[in-house]
Amino acid sequence: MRTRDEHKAAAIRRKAIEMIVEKGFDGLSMQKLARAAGVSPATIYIYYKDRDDLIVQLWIDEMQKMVDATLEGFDPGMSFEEGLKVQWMNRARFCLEDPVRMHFMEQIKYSPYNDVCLKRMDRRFVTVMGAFVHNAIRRKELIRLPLEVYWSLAFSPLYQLVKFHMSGRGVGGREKFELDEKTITQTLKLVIKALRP
Amino acid sequence: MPAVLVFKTNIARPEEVNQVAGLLHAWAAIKKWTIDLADVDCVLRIESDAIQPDEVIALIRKAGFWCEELPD
Repeated sequence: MRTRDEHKAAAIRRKAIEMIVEKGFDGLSMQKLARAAGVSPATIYIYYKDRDDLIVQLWIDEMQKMVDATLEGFDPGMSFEEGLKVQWMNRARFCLEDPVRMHFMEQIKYSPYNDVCLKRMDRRFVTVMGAFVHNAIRRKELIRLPLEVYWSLAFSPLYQLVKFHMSGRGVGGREKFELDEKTITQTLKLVIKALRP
Repeated sequence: MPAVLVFKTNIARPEEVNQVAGLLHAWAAIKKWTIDLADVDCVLRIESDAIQPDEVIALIRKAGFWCEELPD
């Protein structure tokens, strides 16, 4: 009987994400990961049945952390303005405190793993975010829009700013860019203005 | 979570997996099993609370394949 060790498991997960971000999905094998994490392949197989299983489980784990971070201090009954502000701040903090895992989540999005992963999305997150939007529409704080249009307006500006921040450079890479709360607040104000009936 | 047993094998091709699949399926104490064909050790992974490694090794060897416990 082999024992599970949470410290070892966390080290394996972290190393795997770093390897994927550095070398892509093909750069990761159970053997290479074992060497990099300083454990035996047997240890990794205690947790995962193969590489694909490992990658999907990594996503589920990171997605769960993202959901928890995003919903912190958030209530779907909040006014649209207040709720979106909490969302923006939570999402920005989550992205900025660990760019490596953000990068990993983006890699998944553009990979064949995405379909499998999306089926494992936390339903609670989808439900809470849906309730928030419907409450806001009912209270006439938000216009009714196709979901993709709403999402693009409500969140893409934030994620683009985060991407500029992560690269350290603004549009075209010309000038230094650092995201601060003032910029977030300024952008958010315009987004709310655009979404108000 | 059931206990996990991991073995190094030379079961490297899907048709070889089929050869042992019947034996592993027939063993009621095995909850789940997989063989990772992408790995150099062709790792056989078994979830079971009621099986000893030696029993698995004997079974796989009887089917004509190499099998040994993957050391920690």
